[in-house]
Amino acid sequence: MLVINGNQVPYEEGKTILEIARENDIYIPTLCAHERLPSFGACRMCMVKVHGNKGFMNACTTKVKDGMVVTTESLEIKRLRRSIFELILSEHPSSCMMCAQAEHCDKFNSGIMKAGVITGCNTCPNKETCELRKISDALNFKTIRFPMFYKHLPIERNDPFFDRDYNLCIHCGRCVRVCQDVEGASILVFTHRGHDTKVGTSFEKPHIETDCKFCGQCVDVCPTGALSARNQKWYETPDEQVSTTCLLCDKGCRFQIDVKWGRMVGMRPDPEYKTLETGICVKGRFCLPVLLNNMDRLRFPRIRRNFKLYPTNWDEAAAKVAEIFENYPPSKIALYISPFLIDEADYLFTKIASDLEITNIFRSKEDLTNINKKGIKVLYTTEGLPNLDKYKSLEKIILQEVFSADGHDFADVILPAAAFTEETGTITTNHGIMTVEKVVKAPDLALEDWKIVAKIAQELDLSGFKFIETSEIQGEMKRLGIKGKTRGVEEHYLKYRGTAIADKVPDFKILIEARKERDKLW
Amino acid sequence: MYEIVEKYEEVPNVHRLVVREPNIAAKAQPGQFAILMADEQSERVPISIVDTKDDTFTMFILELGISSAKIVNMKEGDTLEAVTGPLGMPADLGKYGRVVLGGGCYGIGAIYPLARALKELGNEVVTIIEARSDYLLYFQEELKAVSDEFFVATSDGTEGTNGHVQDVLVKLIRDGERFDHAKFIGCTYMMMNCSHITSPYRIPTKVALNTIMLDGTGMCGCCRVSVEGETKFACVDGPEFDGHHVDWDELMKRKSSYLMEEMLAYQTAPHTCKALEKAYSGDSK
Ligand SMILES: Cc1cc2nc3c(=O)[nH]c(=O)nc-3n(C[C@H](O)[C@H](O)[C@H](O)COP(=O)(O)OP(=O)(O)OC[C@H]3O[C@@H](n4cnc5c(N)ncnc54)[C@H](O)[C@@H]3O)c2cc1C
Ligand code: SF4
Ligand code: SF4
Ligand code: SF4
Ligand code: FES
Ligand code: FES
Repeated sequence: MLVINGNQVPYEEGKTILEIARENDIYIPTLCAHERLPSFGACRMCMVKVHGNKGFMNACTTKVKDGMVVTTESLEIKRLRRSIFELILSEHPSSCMMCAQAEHCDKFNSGIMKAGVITGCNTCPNKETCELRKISDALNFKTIRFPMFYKHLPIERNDPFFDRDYNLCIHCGRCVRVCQDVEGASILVFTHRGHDTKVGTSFEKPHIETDCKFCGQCVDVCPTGALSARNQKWYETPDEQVSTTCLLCDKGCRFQIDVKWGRMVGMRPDPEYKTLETGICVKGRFCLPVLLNNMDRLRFPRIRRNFKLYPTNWDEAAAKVAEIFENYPPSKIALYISPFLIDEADYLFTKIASDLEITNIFRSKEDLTNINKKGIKVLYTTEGLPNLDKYKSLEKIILQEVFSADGHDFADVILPAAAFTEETGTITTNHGIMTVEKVVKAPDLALEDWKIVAKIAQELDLSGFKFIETSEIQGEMKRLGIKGKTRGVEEHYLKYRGTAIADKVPDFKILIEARKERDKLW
Repeated sequence: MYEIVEKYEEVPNVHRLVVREPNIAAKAQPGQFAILMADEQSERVPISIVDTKDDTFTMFILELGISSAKIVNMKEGDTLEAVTGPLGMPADLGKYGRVVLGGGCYGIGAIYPLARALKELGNEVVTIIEARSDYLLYFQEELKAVSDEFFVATSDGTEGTNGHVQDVLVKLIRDGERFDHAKFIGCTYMMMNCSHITSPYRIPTKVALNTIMLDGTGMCGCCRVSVEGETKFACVDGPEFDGHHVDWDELMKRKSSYLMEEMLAYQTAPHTCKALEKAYSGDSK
């Protein structure tokens, strides 16, 4: 047992005072401590009184002892915390926190929080989640007795993906720790000592010139707006937050996605998941929203008429595909199943193939050489079709894609597919089977891959395709003992289905072009 | 193509920009604005004209979103794709007597030509400016030179009155000051607050509205404002309007109509922006 603020709480060996306090719903303000990082004891906000000891102890670094008596709140502690907090704020652009008009200003001056330079909360991308503001509220902070000091450090914005305004940095060291202890990258260090202490890369090089992975973990743990994702800046309170798994490689990173205006606007590692151990990468953290919000998405089914592709509805498009299937012998038809499909869609493709007795199922670019070998006449591809001119035998192309990938202009039918953030189902990753959740609605008429297959099956009068949800498909797969398998997409693969990510995400292009001489791009 | 002959960051996020454009330099009158385009795909950004000299004119630009970011990331010697102006009606100027002027944000600069002209017309000019903190105040010497009295307010109390232009204004009026005319330029919220202060004292009040604008010549209607129940186009009927009769709620609502587009513009921005792209590739160092 130990005693906190006069109440007995259970003792647990090896835990810190802070951990025990949190488990017992006792609030201790903290700034540098982070539940998923080793403690560091830098900010001193968490000071508590341990009876029998002189002075105060850091709750975040002090381990509990059986029988310890701790006080977390007293007039003295409060005063001390206020002074420490005041010192922190005196070197932080904190005027909005002291402004009498702040509340109204917030309400009326919307939409002004995207600048690279941050001169107050009202221009800060961190505003909605700021830990300084939370503490300020808890301490009911209104004025500051120290002179304010603005550091006049240059804003670092010559890297892709993030802006860094170290004028806001409070030297909590979280970014340094996450980069070193979690990512094992050690890009960020304290570059000066004493009063000039600053966080940055060694020699203050741009991150793109270092081995920075652009994983964004530093941005995500920063309690202030010092580090921010440039393409995910201020969007007020999100309408919704949905967690899902990234399908861009087999790693299966989990993200929590902020949704606003029906779009993906912000990404962070899924707090419910041990992402800090598994890591995340630049493709998921920074590229996904840009990639999938893109205006170039395929939105309407199209069919070729008189040498031109015309937009149409799903009934006509599915009927057209059915007609093509009926006009060719199964041995001349091939399906190209992209590794970027969810397991349920993959299964429905194999199911329709077996019903139609189509045995040519391609799963990689190498398989495409079979087109010429076997004289394939109809290709139904879910991943574009590179080097189209090589395949002389093809007469009809059906393209089911998210973007107008290679081969689009020569297709006979275009079937716009939903991206994996627009459907619910399962994928098989290095961590086993994981779920993908519908985060946003697919653009216009774009439809989940499995629903498109089901529509075509219905046109062909095939039975066994009447599913309403992917859970029903999962049930069928389970009954038949069919399991998804990892798709063999390695972490540094640069495409999503048939489209190079860099074509749709300008910052990603900058990254891979700047580093094209390197073995590892990130 | 319009050359940037001078460009530097006066205080964090306030950029002084001097551009060569003989036509504007020759014709601009106090209260008018110009529309700038950084590159051929940029939005058109309306910016107040602060001063002219020889064949150049001066502006102060704050970075807000992507279009202003493109401009402030340009350097001396770079060229803007397009500069149009002078646009809008010149401000009402007369011999009023004692005039109070309030400026915040870019308005600290934009109020300057009005102060100078009013002073030249023989008015007594009282100028009040505001900023979040002392390190964000700029252009003070120039303003003092054209003002009879000069006051400063900061949100955190680091210089002058702790508060805003409106707080200084209230204090002056309570202390028995009388003003015959008032003009305010700054964020919409500040102009609204100041107008609310002068209204009960019946001080004729003009504000320079910063509605969203496109063409700036009265064609698109995107700068519509309601003043005394009448629809006006801020670009050709204004930007100066009677602060006591502006429909502020509608104005604020209209200003935030494109929040989604403004935010999403960042996702694909570098594509279209040479200045930012250069910055990203490390050339700017
Ligand atoms: C007559 C007039 C004079 C102005 N003078 C100055 C000045 O001297 N210095 C200065 O820094 N700013 C001035 N502004 C404001 C400036 O035009 C906007 O800050 C700028 O257009 C914002 O564009 P953005 O793409 O950077 O920001 P965005 O991210 O597009 O928008 C941020 C916010 O700015 C406003 N805004 C967006 N587009 C426009 C637009 N085309 N016209 C007006 N407002 C818009 C909206 O309220 C929006 O929510 C003036 C505006 C007007 C109408
Ligand atoms: S980090 Fe941003 S929101 Fe938080 S106190 Fe600082 S300026 Fe305000
Ligand atoms: S992005 Fe990742 S690798 Fe780069 S500095 Fe931040 S934590 Fe380190
Ligand atoms: S940049 Fe952010 S996380 Fe890093 S030390 Fe500064 S405040 Fe802490
Ligand atoms: S939280 Fe304990 S010292 Fe910072
Ligand atoms: S800006 Fe188009 S009418 Fe005023």
